[in-house]
Amino acid sequence: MSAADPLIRTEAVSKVYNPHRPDVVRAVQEVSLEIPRGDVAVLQGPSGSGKTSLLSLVGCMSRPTSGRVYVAGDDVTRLSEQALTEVRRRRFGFIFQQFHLIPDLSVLDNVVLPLYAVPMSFAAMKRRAEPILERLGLAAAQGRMVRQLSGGEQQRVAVARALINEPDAVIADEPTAHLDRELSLELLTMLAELNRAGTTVIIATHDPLVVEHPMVGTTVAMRDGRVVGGEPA
Amino acid sequence: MKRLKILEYALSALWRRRGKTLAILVVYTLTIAVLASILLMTHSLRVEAGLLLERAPDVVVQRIMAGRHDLIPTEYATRLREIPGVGDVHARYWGYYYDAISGSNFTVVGTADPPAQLELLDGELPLAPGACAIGAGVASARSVGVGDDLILIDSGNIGVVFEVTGVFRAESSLLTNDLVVLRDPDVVQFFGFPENTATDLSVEVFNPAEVDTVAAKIKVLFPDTRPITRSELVRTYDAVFHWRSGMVLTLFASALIAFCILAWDKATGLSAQERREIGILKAIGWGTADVIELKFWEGAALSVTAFLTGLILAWVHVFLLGASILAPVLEGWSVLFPDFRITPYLDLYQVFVMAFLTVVPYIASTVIPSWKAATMDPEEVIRA
Repeated sequence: MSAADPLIRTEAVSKVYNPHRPDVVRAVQEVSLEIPRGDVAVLQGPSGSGKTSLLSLVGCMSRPTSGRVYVAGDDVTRLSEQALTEVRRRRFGFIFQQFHLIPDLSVLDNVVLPLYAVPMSFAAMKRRAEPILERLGLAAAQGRMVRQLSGGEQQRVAVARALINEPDAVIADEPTAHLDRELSLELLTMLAELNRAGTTVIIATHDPLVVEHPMVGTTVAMRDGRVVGGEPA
Repeated sequence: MKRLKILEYALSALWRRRGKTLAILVVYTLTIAVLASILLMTHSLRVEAGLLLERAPDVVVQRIMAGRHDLIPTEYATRLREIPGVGDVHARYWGYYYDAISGSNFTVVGTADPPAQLELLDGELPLAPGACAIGAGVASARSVGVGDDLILIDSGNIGVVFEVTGVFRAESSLLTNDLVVLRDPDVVQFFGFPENTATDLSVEVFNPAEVDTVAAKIKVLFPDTRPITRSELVRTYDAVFHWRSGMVLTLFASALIAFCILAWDKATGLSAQERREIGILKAIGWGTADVIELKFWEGAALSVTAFLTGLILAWVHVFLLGASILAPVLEGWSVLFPDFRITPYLDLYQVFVMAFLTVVPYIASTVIPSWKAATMDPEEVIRA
């Protein structure tokens, strides 16, 4: 691993669901790409094009059926479950399409949830969360239950949770799918600020608002699990 | 620190699903309470019976007439004393008395030369004619205490007044609860025993190893008698308690199986919400071991709480409320029994076995399906 290595590199990576059944799905087919550190990469394409599956592969949330995935120069394809978890925890923060927050927990508890799995005191967890909540305008709402928040506020909680591990990259799956234009722009502004601070951002989307945003560096166009176009950073 | 945080999260997860948690907790607790009640009560009765039987005669000789217990001539005692190895032989006078006032059966027992004080007696045993010592149940049923008069109706339908000189304490309640102790001549007169007869004879044997041999000799010498050794009594008590608890446990087994099915169904059937939560936790950096630990703490917190609560409920039911639900099945000495209190005895081995058989399977049935979900890729768990 060196600083010159791209943060993400895939070599002919494929993902097949239900491989030995009639309803086999070839979600990703032999995709090779590179995402440099500090980039804002967008995987674009219509629904079912395989962008979310590719996002899961590069974010170490699933394993490829074939091919290789490198994170910061390290081959993570055959890592043990424990090691893969460690990479995911250390390198990535995730923002899901449907937020995937725990509705009956407070804002603060949701944000610090990733830190429950690391040796850190409750006080230290809170100390780390405070500036993030402040930056995202959630400081006053930190004691409220997530289910009491608006969609935009929940999205900000999801962003805060993605940042709590101080990741190298934030991975967002259709982050604007459930937001109106105003909230979408607000989110993109937040992601752009993160990127300016040095965080790599990888987004899967079919929203033109995201694709055409000035912060975007690399674009990868996908269809039927294959890369059909795009521009490198 | 990490372990403490996961435990804290497990408790908060149980609280967030409090409706479901409470339902399982109630069923689980009641199951444990019934099971523990049976075991606590059986054990206590056996211990109490064992303690009291330690002081029982080596051999009791009863006379049998037409297959039934009959009064025994006291002259048998003289010939019994001549058997080698036999020490004292005493005639015992006792019988049952139905008390119409309280609707209970009392056991009336005679004593010849009682000691002035007994450890388990408040007051003293009857030292003079017309005196009596009574069990706590009799005292309660008749609302009498030391210094009061106890009036009983004798075999001639005449009321007889006895002065209460002592009341037995609860520690010996298995055999003393329904007891009325009189002097021997008072018992003879009260029941109208024919002259020179007794209820049975107690025989002392010098060498414990010779008890069975002496009993066999008595049977040869007096074919119309039935010698009962202390070890036979202990075995009978044990068999009775085992049989009764076994019967109840068998009946209870169906309820236990129903609970196990419920627990298994609950545990194996992870709800979509639970699977989604596991997926989220994995996606944000929790490892498989962390998720399994979380589910372990959830199962352990719920099952240990239910176990301890059930055990406390059983203790209260058996030892404070007199096992009102199970007593009719497990006691059963007489149809009408004065209010009964069981002395608390706890067998830790039994408690550990019970914990092992109830807590461990529940935790396992909680952890195993979660383990399956936790080992999947988080993406699959979220999509599922």
